[in-house]
This record gives sequence, structure tokens and C-alpha cells, in this order.
Amino acid sequence: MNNFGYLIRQGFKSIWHNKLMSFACFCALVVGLLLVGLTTLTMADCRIILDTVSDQNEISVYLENEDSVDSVKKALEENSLVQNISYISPEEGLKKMVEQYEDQKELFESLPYNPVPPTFMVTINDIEKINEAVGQFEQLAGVYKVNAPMDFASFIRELRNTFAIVAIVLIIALGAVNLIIISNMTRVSAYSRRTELSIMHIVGATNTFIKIPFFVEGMTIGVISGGVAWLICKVVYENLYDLILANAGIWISLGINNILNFADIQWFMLAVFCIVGALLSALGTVISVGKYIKG
Amino acid sequence: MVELKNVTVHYRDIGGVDALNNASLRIDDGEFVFIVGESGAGKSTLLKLITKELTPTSGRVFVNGYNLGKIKKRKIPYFRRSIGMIFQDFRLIDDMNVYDNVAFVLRVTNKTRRYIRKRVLDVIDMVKLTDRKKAYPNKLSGGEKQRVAIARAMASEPALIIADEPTANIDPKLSYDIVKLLMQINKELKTTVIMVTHEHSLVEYFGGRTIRLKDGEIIFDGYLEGVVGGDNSDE
Repeated sequence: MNNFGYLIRQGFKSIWHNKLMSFACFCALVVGLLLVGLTTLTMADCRIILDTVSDQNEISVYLENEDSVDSVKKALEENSLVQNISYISPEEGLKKMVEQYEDQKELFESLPYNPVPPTFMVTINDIEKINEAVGQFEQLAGVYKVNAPMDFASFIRELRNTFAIVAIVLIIALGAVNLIIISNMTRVSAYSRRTELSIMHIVGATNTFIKIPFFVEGMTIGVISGGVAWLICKVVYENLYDLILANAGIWISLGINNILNFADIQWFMLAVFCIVGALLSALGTVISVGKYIKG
Repeated sequence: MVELKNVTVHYRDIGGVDALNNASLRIDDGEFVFIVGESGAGKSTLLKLITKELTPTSGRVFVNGYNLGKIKKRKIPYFRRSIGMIFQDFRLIDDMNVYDNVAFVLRVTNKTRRYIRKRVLDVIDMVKLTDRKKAYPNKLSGGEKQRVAIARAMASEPALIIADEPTANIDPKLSYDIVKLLMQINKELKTTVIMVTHEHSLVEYFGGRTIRLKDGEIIFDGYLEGVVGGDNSDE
């Protein structure tokens, strides 16, 4: 194409020529991308928090007597669903119980024998598979009873699903809003250049030729908006992250000490912001310019 | 060559009006033709058919060797490159000077830089605007603007120039110069020119082949004598 350079230059010139519209488009994109970015990060953090919380659930596997400790331990260790095992002997169990009910410790002292069975506290890899794990543990020889936080598991499952749906809906809705805004702004830009478009159309410019400068204009604004949105997102998120770390004690007790560190994902995020910005902008441009060059 | 065979254009959305009714005409290469008629006679519809901006309800249209009923959509831009358009509102791009307005057409059609430079200077010279080549449209008179539009229409060396009311927005005295310029292009370059106008005085003055439309029908297709000889020649 002889005039490819010319088309690229026209795209850049057009940004300056329509500077007010370009700025409005830039602002709309920055806000839109920032909202999408922060929503995605928040949702990812929520997911991590839920995973952390769900990792803390423990299944109690009570044994009939201490003779079966080794065989049950071996079976649990070989089970692929199991993440961690800790053994609590009847003596340790009783001690804990006494500590827990200290004001009524005379009750325990008067017991003729230790009623606490040998117990394995087991955490599993995936809370979704708690039913399956409990079923398998109950089948083990020497196991007397299995107690699992079923309600908690189903609550976590529901919460996780709800979060996933909310995240998807929010991201799609914000993406669509962005696309509509960009498409309308480009339409105004195309309207302001309708003479140019009509001449191009009538003198035999191909649709691709007509669209390239708009495409370059849209992509450039999209990439710049992506970069700026990323920078704002980084500042906002890192400040929040620092705030959480400064009060780590409170958060760790809530099991929220594992959230994403922006530094770990910043280049990936920058690439995503710029690509999404460029694609949204270019798509909006192509849709709206296409309406002017039909026929 | 432009040929219409039994062409009807029926606008359903504006009360079922026939904008053109069973019209047939043939304009040979190198002809200069006036198309006249009152507002709503079907002149614009005729031009839109020729430039393939409109598809007839029935009938066939052939322009510059293309059968417009069968032309593929992706070929339309290439077909349009064989036509030069001149509009009554000039349609110049305000932020481009004379040179760039003319060069724009050639850039759009992907010509080389060297060709563009030579061709643009040639056509600007032909319309006698060499000393105004760096001027912007807001610094030009109506007549000058229309000459830029003519230069732009000629730039791509089209086989056919369509001038849609080219004198409607300029001084009546300058109108004659514009028509003369178009006639000169027709005569020297053998370019077919179709000029739509509602100014009877111009047609009566220059004469030549004239097609008159009324209510979507061709009511006259013949030669008028004209004050200057009736052969569409220069004065």
C-alpha cells in the first residue's frame, strides 16, 4: 500500500485535530478501564480470601481406639483429597477440652476415664469435595465417626459461585458500557468529518482505507488510556495493599493475608489494560465509522 | 458510456413515489450532456443510479463498462474511481489547502507520491489555480472553490465527470466560466461530462445535448441550438 504511512499519519493528526473529542474519549476509557480493573482485582482478592478461609476448615476424624492410629494415618496420607493431617491424642484432646471449659474443669476431673477419642484433624484440598472426602474417611477401618463443617462448605461454595457470577456480570456490563461510550464518541467524531468521509466514499476509497486512520486514532487513544488507567489502578491498589499490611494483625486473623501483590502482576496488568483499551476503542471506531460508509 | 434500460426507482418509504419511471437513455463516451428538470423531477435519483449509490427497483444500468446490477460490493470503490464528482456545495475539506484537497483523491486511490505530485500540479494548472495552491478553502471565492472541486474530479483521470448543480452556489457571472471549463475538459480530454442543472439560462446559452426530466420521466432528449452554437463547444 503506497499510502500506508500517510494513513498512519492521518490517524495521529486526527487525534490532535479532534482534540476535544479525543480527550473525552480518553477520559471515558480511563474511567471505564479503571472500573473494570479495580473490579477484577477486587474479585480476584475475594476469591483468594474465600480460598484461604475454606482452607482453614477442618474435618475431625474420630477413631475407635489408639490401635488403629497408624493404619488410619497411612490411609489419610495416601488420600489425594487430603492436604494436611494433625493427630490429637486422647490426652491432648482432654487437655484442650479442659482449657476450653476452664470454669467447669471439676466436671472433667471427676470423670472415671478419658472419653475423648484419638482424633485426626484433616484439611482437604478442595472444599467442594468435602462430601466425597467424608464418605471416604467413614469407610476407613477403625474410624468411629467423622465430623465435617458441611454447612460452612456449602456456604463457601455458594459465596464463591455468587462472586464468580457478580464478577462476570460486572466485567461484561462495564465492558459493554465502555464499548457504547466509545462507539458513540467515535460516531460524533465521524460525524464531524462527514465531508471527508463522503468524499472518500464517492471517489472510490475502499472501506479498509477509510477505516485505517480512525482505527489508528482509536488504538492510540486506547493504548494511552490503558496506560493511564493502569497507573491510577496501581496507585490506588498499592495504597490499599499497604494499608492492609500496616494492620496485618487484624487481617491475618480474618484470614485475609494472601491478597494479590500488584507488583507481582503489574506488567501483565499493563499489557491487559493497553490491549483491552486498544481493542475496545478500535472496535467502537470500526462499528461507528462503518455506519457512515455503508452503500 | 452510460446506459439506462427501462429503469424504474420506486420509493416505498416516501409514499410509493416513482422517482424514475421506465427511463432509458444512452450517453456515449466523450459527450457533454445537460440534465435539467425541476426539483423532484428525478435528477438526483438518476445521478445516484449512475454512481451506484442507489439500486433501481427494475431495469439495468451500465456505466463505464460496468453492469451495476451485477457489480460485486467490493468492486464498487474501484468502479467509482472511474467517475469524477463535482457537488454544488463543493465538499472541500476545510483543514486542507488546495493542493491537499486535490491530492486527497489520489492518496485515497493509493497512487504513488511522485505521481500525485505531478498530477496535482497539472490539474491545478489546468483550472488556473497554481498561485492559490497553498490557500485554504476559507480564503477562496465560490468560483475558486468550484474550480478546486473540478481539479479534484479530474485528478484521477476519470472517464466520466458528473457535475451536480455545480453553479448553484456561485456568482451567476462565474457560472458561465465553470461551464466553459467543464466543456474545455470535455473537448480536450475527451472526458464524458454529465451536468445537472436547474438553470435554464445556462442551457439556453450553451445548448447541446439536453435531457429534460419531469416527474420521473424523460420528456425530452435532444440537441438545443444555444447562443454559442449548440454543439457544447467553447465560446
